[in-house]
Amino acid sequence: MIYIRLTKYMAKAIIFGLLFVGFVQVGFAQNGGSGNGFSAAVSINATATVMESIEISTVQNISLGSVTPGVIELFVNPQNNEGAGKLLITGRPNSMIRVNYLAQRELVRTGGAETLLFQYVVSGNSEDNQFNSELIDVSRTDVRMGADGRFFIWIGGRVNLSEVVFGNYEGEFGIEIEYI
Amino acid sequence: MKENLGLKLNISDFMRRLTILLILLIVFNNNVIAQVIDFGSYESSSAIVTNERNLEFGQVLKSSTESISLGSGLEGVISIQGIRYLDILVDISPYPANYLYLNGNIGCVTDDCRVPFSLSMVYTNAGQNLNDISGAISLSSASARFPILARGSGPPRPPPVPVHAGYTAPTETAHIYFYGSITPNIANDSGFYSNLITVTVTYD
Repeated sequence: MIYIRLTKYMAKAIIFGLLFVGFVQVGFAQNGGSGNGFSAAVSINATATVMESIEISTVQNISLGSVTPGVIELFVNPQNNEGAGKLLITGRPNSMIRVNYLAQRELVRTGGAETLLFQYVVSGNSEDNQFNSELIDVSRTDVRMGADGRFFIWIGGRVNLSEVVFGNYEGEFGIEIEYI
Repeated sequence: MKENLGLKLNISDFMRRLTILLILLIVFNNNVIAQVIDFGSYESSSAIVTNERNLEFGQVLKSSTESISLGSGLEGVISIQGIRYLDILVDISPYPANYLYLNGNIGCVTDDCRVPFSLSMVYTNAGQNLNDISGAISLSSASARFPILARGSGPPRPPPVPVHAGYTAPTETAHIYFYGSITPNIANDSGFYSNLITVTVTYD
């Protein structure tokens, strides 16, 4: 048998030594994981273009003028007739917009129930120049706003008066504009 | 009655030597703790971090909210291609990114030149392809640590093959997605707003 007799001093020294070794190991162990020096950075750009809401204002109503008896069809050319209605669209400069409208609307005689079917014809221009305006129809609905953020629309149309009851007729024109 | 087997030790000398040995261990214990192995420390590799797509809200009207949601395919995305068994540390700055700034001028502090911005982030690290956000994990702090390839459950896998000549460690790609919303108000000037969010990737 082996008899081991520890002196009090030696026992304390051994315990202290073991603890100290343990603490130091832990301390160093937490220094691990320092990486291999590799680092790379990349950026994500979050972007938006804030713009004014698009607005439409009426500059001039359509005026068909007086109709004399015997006239079968009345046509207001939006590209050159002074009686054409006029709208002003304001929005983001140079942006593309889409123009949609109902091509036919009924006009109702004031004080009566008689109606006229009005066929709208519309043209537009990024400059305030009716004579250089271009027709806007189902084949061409997308147009570009002017550099000043304006776009002009002229509204004309044609109506058959062959069976008309004479009087004053009124109706609305509906148009829808959106950014594209 | 006691019987000795013929082995006798001088305990006092033994203990003295043991004490000296312990002291030597303390002094030279760097050799002892060299067992802590950080594979990232010894890899001679890098990772490929790529901007896959910016977060573009497009044209937004004042007094409206524009959102890009997770899974829409419009989120901002970065990809991180690296050694699949290593952990990476991802640092995002600025965090939180609360505004987009007119012409990117981050010095703006007034409402006319900054748009409120709500940013959310997730990452995928289960080997998903770009735009596959199944199992995405939310990122909700400026820093995150995750493996290039999630380890999943089950018992620990064998240690990776040590790097040696002619050996290429297997790689995988993790993704981080950025999405959220902006709310321009009537006080905002019209124009181009942006904020650059930088992601720094290091191996852990």
